[in-house]
Amino acid sequence: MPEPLISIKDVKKHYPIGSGLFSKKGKWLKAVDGISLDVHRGETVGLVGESGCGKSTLGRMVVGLLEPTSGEVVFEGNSLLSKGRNKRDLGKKIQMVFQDPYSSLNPRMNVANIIAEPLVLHKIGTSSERKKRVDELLEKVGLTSAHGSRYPEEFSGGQRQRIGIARALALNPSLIVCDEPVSALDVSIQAQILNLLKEIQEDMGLSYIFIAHGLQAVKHISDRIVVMYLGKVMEISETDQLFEQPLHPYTEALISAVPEPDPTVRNRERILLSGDLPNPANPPLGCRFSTRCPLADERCRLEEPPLEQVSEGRWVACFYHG
Amino acid sequence: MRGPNEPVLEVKNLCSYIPTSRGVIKPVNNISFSIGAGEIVALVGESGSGKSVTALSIMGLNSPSIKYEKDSVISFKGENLLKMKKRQMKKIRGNEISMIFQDPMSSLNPLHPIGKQIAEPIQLHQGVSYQKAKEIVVNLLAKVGIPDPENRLNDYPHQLSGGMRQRIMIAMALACNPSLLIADEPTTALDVTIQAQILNVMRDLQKDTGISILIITHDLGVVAEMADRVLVMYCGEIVEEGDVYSLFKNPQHPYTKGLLASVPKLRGASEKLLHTIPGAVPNPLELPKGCNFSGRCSYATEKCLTEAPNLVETGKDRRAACWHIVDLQTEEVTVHA
Ligand SMILES: Nc1ncnc2c1ncn2[C@@H]1O[C@H](COP(=O)(O)OP(=O)(O)OP(=O)(O)O)[C@@H](O)[C@H]1O
Ligand SMILES: Nc1ncnc2c1ncn2[C@@H]1O[C@H](COP(=O)(O)OP(=O)(O)OP(=O)(O)O)[C@@H](O)[C@H]1O
Ligand code: SF4
Ligand code: SF4
Ligand SMILES: [Mg+2]
Ligand SMILES: [Mg+2]
Repeated sequence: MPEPLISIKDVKKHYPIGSGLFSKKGKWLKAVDGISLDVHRGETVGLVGESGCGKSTLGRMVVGLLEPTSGEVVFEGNSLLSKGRNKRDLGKKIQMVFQDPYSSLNPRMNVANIIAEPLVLHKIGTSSERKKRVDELLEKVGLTSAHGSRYPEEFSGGQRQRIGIARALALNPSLIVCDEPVSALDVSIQAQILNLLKEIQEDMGLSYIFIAHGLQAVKHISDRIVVMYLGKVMEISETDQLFEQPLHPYTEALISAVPEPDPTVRNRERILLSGDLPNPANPPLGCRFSTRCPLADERCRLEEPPLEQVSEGRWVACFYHG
Repeated sequence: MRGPNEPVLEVKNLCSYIPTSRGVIKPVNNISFSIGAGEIVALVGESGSGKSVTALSIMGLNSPSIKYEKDSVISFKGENLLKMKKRQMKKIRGNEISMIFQDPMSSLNPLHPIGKQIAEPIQLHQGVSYQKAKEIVVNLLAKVGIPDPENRLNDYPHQLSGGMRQRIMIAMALACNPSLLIADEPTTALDVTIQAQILNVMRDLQKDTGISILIITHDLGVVAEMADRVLVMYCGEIVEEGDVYSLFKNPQHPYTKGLLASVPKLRGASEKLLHTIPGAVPNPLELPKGCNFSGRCSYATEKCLTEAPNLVETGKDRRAACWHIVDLQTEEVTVHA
């Protein structure tokens, strides 16, 4: 295996519960509770899991928007934790695309300035060089240079997401963290953006961490998938294997719950979980999935299963995995 | 399925318009459809295509800025809801027709415990005692899968998870045994495993009570799992209608066809690039002269650019609004084999 582009090493993010005088002393919400993961050059890793399981928190730590409580993120051999110039240069190499194409663009800036902003911040190029670069980027994401003088409100959701992608590409990053980039878009537009991300990757050889709670888009775009539940990793697998034979009971339930766009299979056997997501501030003792797991027994409720390698590239955290 | 022969609801030539300074917007432009007793009808379409305005028209809850053309009819059990007095409509709403909204938090009162919120309409519409209403509430909560319902009556909305709140909304909507339930994106804000539970609850309720359901969603998977019949909207118009099996197997309108082909497959190997519908929905103030879909349609001809197609019968239980349906049918359809 070549050296990974980025290594996430036992990263944790714990938030104090409540704040100020009335905070419950010593109570923490463990949003991300010890996650390790390597991402290689040109690879796309999908992060899936239910709302609140810590996907965005992890993504934000990777791009340096959030400081981990412990653990570190190592990029091309350098820790992102180290301060100063080094960190600034590393920051250029990792960019983010956000879920909400409406709120993530400054409404008072025209599109050309939005896309050029990272170049200006990092003092790259003369103004005419930047202008040329913006035109290139607009074209790359399927817009034209004429769009540059317009403002975000004049664009549809899908077009705004294209603008967000162009901005993320401005500094020629090696990794883009895409946090639910298509969740807010119409089905017909989602496909356009997914294709665009794939084409850009082939063109530029960059890596993605692709966050979503919907499995279809993740399956389509990812080489490997990480399944998270309440701040921890339940399963890591190469994509096709995961769908052919999910090993963790949660992965199995997740795949089984996706409604299929085919009415002839509507009466198929389905795993229906009972109960709701547990409170992340007070996760179950033992296995985090034990309150909803159809296989849970006494041991699961007392002891936490470690994430173990079961075959090449395949990791599972379950005592009784498939 | 008793089908549309015995409609609970009949919408005829529903036309709504909003006068704005830049021109007139028609969020819903001359649509007609019906919902049979015990039928589940799905309404799908692009954001802004008029799904919610349609639902809110039935409920009488659209903002006053939205006007209706004179010959619009929404007939419920033989009466035109659009001509009804406010007071009469209030009796029907929440009682005979009820609605579940996308965001349960916005429709639950944060200051009152949920038990009280569900019991109140029951007392109001059914004239029963608080004690009796409470009993009904406990039954309802159990029916929608809330564990230990007696002890949840005093919970406030913020103490419940998103999935629980959505179930409370369903319980509230069912409190007065309505004959029609409108569910506007009832699971969009929820995780898939919770969504599966909620859809299951709705399906079981339909079977047990024979209620009719109009479900609005942009998720074709949800449509395929729930609906008997499907209505596809585009730019305020119904462009295709059909029973769920034949519509998914053989979509007749290019938009429906493109929509079905755009969904990434969950089974089997991933396709390298997804099928896409190029372009975007036209601005409602600058709709094209001919077919609204012509700017994105690979089948468009000269005729499509100048003349708008009408929604016409195209087969048994099928309608479509397209000049070139026949061309589509002779083509092999490779959707989600
Ligand atoms: N600044 C914060 N302070 C306290 N708790 C937080 C903060 N940010 C996130 N959390 C909590 O951390 C957990 C993980 O949140 P995160 O946003 O990472 O989840 P997610 O997996 O991205 O969910 P979603 O799919 O809803 O976006 C949640 O319980 C959330 O409420
Ligand atoms: N009160 C209003 N004032 C002005 N325009 C409105 C109003 N309500 C709806 N519209 C417009 O009418 C059109 C149809 O809106 P509607 O809410 O029915 O769409 P929708 O199909 O439900 O979309 P979504 O999937 O995004 O919920 C849109 O162009 C919308 O902007
Ligand atoms: S460890 Fe036990 S509770 Fe956890 S996933 Fe495995 S079987 Fe289920
Ligand atoms: S009428 Fe013409 S443009 Fe419209 S959907 Fe049919 S083929 Fe396409
Ligand atoms: Mg998130
Ligand atoms: Mg809507």
